Amino acid sequence: MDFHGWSGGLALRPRDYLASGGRPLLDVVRASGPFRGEELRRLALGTAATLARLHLAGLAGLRLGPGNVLIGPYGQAFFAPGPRDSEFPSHDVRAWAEVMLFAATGREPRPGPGSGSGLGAGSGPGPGAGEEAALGGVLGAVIGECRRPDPGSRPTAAELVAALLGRPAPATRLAVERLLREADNHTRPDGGPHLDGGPRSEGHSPSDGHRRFDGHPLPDNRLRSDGRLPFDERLPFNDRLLFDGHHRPDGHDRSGGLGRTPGPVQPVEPVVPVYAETLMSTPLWRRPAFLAGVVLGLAVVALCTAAVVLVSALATSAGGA
Amino acid sequence: MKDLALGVLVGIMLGVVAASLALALADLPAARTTAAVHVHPYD
Repeated sequence: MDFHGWSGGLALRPRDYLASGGRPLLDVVRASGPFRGEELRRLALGTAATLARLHLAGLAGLRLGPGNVLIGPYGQAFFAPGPRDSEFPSHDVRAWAEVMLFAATGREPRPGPGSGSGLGAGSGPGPGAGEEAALGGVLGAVIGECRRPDPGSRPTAAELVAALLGRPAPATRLAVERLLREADNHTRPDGGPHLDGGPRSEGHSPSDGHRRFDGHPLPDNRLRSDGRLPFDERLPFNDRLLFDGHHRPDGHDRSGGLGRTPGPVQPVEPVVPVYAETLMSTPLWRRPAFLAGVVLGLAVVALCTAAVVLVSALATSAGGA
Repeated sequence: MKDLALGVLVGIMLGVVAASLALALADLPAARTTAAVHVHPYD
């Protein structure tokens, strides 16, 4: 039984949601200035991957903002707990773009009307409109896509990760998991193996730095030859990955497989993805399928009981007559 | 599917218990009357 937002009875443990020991992005940027270059791209990738994991687990309406995106001691990004709203994942994507703009520029955007503590939920362009163009590159283009007024035309979080990694838009859960695994390899605290076999960057200890990113270098050739983003070829909105990663009806995986990407072959290591640790088994009594079964069983018994009572009443009245 | 089957099983058990209790309680006044007629030693 597969329900939206649930996968085999697994839901997110709040590790991605309940950060410990992190500093708010707001404080980090105020103290150390805006994020630049590779640092910014890794922050964008890490937060987009976390957002994608949460969306895949059915968690949306996160009210993202510089105050509740936390930077861990190794530079990893978490989302602080807070009240969620009933908004759609596309609003989270827009808020993510505003947070990235803040991280890149250090200028705090005004909260949109009705956006609560989050940012960018307003319908009009915020004070950062046009700034994404100044960022340039894939990140600027991605942020521009995320800030579209029409929520339906914004990319999903999984597509964000794909675009930041220079991959095609994922169409299956397997493709999304591959993307998230690759994103983990790029952003995990220990830096992962380097493609060139060179030494890992040194210099920052966990205690002296909160913006340490020394994983894989991200690919630079992520814009297509016509300057458009990979997810311009994305699926229709109702067929895209929001909460579920179901296979398309035609079974066609548009991811194309990461192994078929031209260029140098990246080393594939059999690592357990970091996000797997965020999964824990949901108690049986909280699983939607179980609850649906209980309701079904109660309904069956109620129907049987009603039938017995009805037949008994009819027999009594017939005997009395 | 396993969760659903377990849920149905638990639901049926809960329903049987609840229905039994309900029917028994609904029949309690008649049972008391019957008991009073046949069992009370001072009648």
